[in-house]
Amino acid sequence: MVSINRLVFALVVVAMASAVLLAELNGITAPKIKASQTAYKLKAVKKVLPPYDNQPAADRRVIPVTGGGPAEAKVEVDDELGKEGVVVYPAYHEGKLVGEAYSVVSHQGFSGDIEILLGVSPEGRVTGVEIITHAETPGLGAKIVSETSWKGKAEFVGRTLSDSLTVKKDGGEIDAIAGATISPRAVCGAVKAGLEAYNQALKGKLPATPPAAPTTTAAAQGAHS
Amino acid sequence: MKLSQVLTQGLWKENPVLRMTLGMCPVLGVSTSGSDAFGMGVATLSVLVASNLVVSLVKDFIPAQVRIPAYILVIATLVTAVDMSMAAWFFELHKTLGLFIPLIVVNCIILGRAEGFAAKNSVFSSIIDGLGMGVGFTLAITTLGCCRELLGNGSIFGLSLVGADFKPMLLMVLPPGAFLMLGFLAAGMRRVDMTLEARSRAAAEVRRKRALDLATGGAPLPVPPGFE
Repeated sequence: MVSINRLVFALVVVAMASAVLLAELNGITAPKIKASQTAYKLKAVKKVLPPYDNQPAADRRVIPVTGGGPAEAKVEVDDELGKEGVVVYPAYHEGKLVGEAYSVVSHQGFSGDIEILLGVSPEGRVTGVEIITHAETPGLGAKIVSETSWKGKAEFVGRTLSDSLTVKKDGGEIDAIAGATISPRAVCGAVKAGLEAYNQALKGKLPATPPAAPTTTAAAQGAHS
Repeated sequence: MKLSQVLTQGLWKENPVLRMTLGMCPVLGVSTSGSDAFGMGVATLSVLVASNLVVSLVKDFIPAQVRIPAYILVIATLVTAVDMSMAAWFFELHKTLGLFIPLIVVNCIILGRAEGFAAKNSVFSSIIDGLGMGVGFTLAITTLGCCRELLGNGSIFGLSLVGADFKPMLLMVLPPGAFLMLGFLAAGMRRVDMTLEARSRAAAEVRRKRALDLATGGAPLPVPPGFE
């Protein structure tokens, strides 16, 4: 018979070793993961905005918004700017504001929240939609991420709050996915909530002209072909 | 057991998915498409090899009474480590597979091999066993994923193989399709085994006859004395 002390000792050693290993690994990977996530988001920013000649990441603003409801503009803390609110990435073309991009979260996904990045023009028209994070079923709801598997994603472009923003199954005009209506419906809800937030809180909050005249190098780096 | 046997038993004879029906949770959940299934298989393979390695290393230190919690702890640590490393170095892959990585903890193949093999065998053969079982798991889940994707979506690994007038069997990518397809695959495997068995039995029968003919010169067996 092994004494109880021996059993406890073995478990404590295994637990300690696991904890140390994971803590070390977390220290190594956490900054890399954060950087990858930011890079991923900036790629999406480029996709949803109309052609621009500034640097949306450098020109981003944090605008305080009160959210709530099944879908809302995503309120987060921007570590660098040290403010809490909706992080808005502006697009300027030839000195004029042509669009802005920000995250909207829907709490009505099939499994967990869906975060989308919504691009909106100054008149309140959708310029693009990208899915940032989701936990939908692979092969079904997860099809929302790409235009090839879900035509509806591109169908938002050009719509305003007064246009139809619901799936065909609910009497709207946006394509749904066979076998997975809930995920496209959640994205529709997020786009709608995002446009409402734009009209109520975000519209006119950004400077109409770029904060600093774009230098040639900046224009070359940030140019959207 | 010979090492070659350790390596190959997981592929067919003791295939973890289709023979031992272990680890059904990820198999049924993540086999909606070939590429997802393959990614899950490879992630499981790496955790399986690593957990077999660690468990066979610490097996003499862990008393039998607390081996299950200790093994679970080891497996959970490895899975978390794989999850974090993947997010840091293979971000795009993690985007699509990230959801399933934590599922590996509940895959009973991992604990099953730790308990059933690695706890009783040397480090090297445990690694080999992990490799064999992992490859067997990957092959089975990828086959299942490809079959479901082909019938339910008309494509394999995302490549469309059928014309526009193809009506996909949506059921196959929905949860019931996983059970149906798994049943068909397991039955098909059994069928192949039965055919092989019947063939080898027939071959043995022919050999026995020929040996008898050689021994008796083709004449009928002499009746043993006392049986006239």
